[in-house]
Amino acid sequence: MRSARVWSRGATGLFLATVVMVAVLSPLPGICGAPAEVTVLIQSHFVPAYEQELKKQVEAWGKQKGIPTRVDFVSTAEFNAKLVAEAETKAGHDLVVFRNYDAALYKDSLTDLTAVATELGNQYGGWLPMARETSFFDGQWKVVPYYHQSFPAVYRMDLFQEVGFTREQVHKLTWDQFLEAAKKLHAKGKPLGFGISQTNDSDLILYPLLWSFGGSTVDKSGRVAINSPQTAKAIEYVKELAKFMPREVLGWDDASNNRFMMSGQGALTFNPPSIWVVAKKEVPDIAKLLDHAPVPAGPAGRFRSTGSYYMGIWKFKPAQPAADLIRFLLTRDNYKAQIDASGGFNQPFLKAYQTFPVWKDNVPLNAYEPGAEDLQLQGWPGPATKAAAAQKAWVMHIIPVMFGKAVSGATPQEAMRWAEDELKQLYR
Amino acid sequence: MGRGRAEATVPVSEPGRWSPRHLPRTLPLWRGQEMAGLLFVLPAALLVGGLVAYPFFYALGLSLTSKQAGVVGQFVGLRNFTDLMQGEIFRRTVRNSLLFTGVAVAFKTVLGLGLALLLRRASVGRRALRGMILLPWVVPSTLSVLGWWWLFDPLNGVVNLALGKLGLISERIPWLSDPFWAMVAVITVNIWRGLPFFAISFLAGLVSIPEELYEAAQIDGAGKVACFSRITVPLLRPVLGVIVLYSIIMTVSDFNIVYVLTRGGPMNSTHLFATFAYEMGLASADIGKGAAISLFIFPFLAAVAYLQLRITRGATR
Repeated sequence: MRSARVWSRGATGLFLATVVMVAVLSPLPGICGAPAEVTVLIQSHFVPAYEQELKKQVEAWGKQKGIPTRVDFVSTAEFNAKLVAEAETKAGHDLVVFRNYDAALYKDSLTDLTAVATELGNQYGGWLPMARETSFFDGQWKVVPYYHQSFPAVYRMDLFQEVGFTREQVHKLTWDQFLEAAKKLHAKGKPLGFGISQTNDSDLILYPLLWSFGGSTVDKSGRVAINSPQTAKAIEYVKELAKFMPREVLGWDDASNNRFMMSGQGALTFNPPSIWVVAKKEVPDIAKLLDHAPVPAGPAGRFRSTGSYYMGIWKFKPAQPAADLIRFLLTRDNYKAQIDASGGFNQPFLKAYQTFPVWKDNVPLNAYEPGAEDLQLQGWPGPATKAAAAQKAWVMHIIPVMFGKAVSGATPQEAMRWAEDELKQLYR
Repeated sequence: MGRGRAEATVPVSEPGRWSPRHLPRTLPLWRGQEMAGLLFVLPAALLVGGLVAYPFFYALGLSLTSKQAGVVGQFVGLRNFTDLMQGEIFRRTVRNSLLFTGVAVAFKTVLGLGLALLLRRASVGRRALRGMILLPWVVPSTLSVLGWWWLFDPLNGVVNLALGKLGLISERIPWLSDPFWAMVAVITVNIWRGLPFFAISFLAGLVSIPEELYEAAQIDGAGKVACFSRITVPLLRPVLGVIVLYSIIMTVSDFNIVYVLTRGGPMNSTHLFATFAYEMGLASADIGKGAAISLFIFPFLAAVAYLQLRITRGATR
């Protein structure tokens, strides 16, 4: 009995000592804290060759540092759940590639990367003004801007020529001329189309359309401003345009516009060059007829929006190796190799990289040259303090649903009032 | 539990029969029968507590906070619930969920019962038939729904193509781009997926009804309708109650079908609690509101469960 008690005391003592040892030593590098592996989380890319290039570069960095590496590509659908799980469990990847305004949602969980962003900005000609809107919160760069993919028009040159539009004219279209083209193409049985549905692709064309008519979700102070005569005009325009697009655009997903063009059924949609890049391999006969053009201009100007990506480090992960990896991936040679692998799909936030030749050398990519038109993100022109609300409005597809309601029969006033009510819930 | 305790302490007068009263009073508690019973129940209790009760109360706590992913939330009382009620998307989600669940469960019950009656009559290849019928239920739902998505595809969908070839439609049905047809599509897929479970469960209930009852009724001159309404339905009621209850809970919390087919669109016309909670809680990182959406249906489900179980108990007495 006595020996059992002694054993029990010994075991308890040993257990407590182990707990204390682990607790004390775990933060020390080289004991438990040394990165056994540096991991990267990023959404799957639309151009597979880019994924191979990124993996190659991360591996090369790992070899230099003597650290094993892993890159996890996660589908769009899974990505949000992954972010929430990592933020909540305080465990996960060392380097995370965030999207759009994600950094505003997770700013309190992110390491201050001001030193890295400033250093890279100074070295490579500074950042696009738009980059700061989605990266700089509470006086710190919470993420380092990585790349973006703007949404120009991708169209069939042959079909537009057949209805009387030269390449030069397509590159300078106004929305009124666009409507004329839509009517002619519809009559020809080769319509143009873009999503007016609950997908990101729909947001990425309908926000610029709204801005080009002078409307916006919020004003500069962040007050909801959707209910305006300018928005009403934009809605009326889309109602008219939708008569000449396939009815199915109300249910399109992010891949529908790709299929629409690659199948040869469509004359125009709005998308980054992934359709062109993939078509070159899968349907070269259609690829050679494709070109990209700026988004048509409205009474308030010509705008373009973009899907954007940013590199960040969780506060609960070691900052140094991942910060070093960010610098490595954004060096000139590496970044150029990534852009080339993506077929020019990735567009830089760093001004010095905007002069890479890929967009000039490939004629169909001329209009995809970064900075070619007024580029804005979805929260524009609201302040950075409202970035989290902008992200929620984007995720809930408030703008495409507003247009969709009007196309399905609601009056512009009804559709605007609906959007206003929902936006006011988000922009409190 | 209370009843078990009472039974355990009832004195037994027959000689030779064992009773807890025969245990010496000085024995340690852990050797007593009550403690043994508790130990047997413990794994299940831990499982239910860890996987059901804890997440439920955790979610309840979250729904009362302004919790965002990665940061500590503040207690906000019922504000998440009242905020949600003010939004049209949420009100629409409630209507969608009730319509989706009501129509899908009603069809699954009627069709499931019909299929079970046919299966009971089947004399050839009965086992193979039952196996085949279960296929939609056992195939991973995401995969099968992707198949349906392809069938409904607006550009090259087989459903429209087939209906057109048969001369049943003159123009394509906008399956996933019209609010009405999108709801028809998601309900159809839910019925297709859930029907086998209903049919096989009802079949199990049907084969347990003694054949003699039908023979006696027929001798007494009862017709097929009378046999069905006076014998089959009353004796099937316990199975019916449990299956319908289970299906209501599973249908109202469906996620995969809507997320893969429509993502809640068009114009939020197919959003269900789970898809909207995903959009709010995970995509927008607003965990407090996401939890509130998930829990909103709980009082309704609890009431349904209570009523169903009462009806089922009444039937078994």
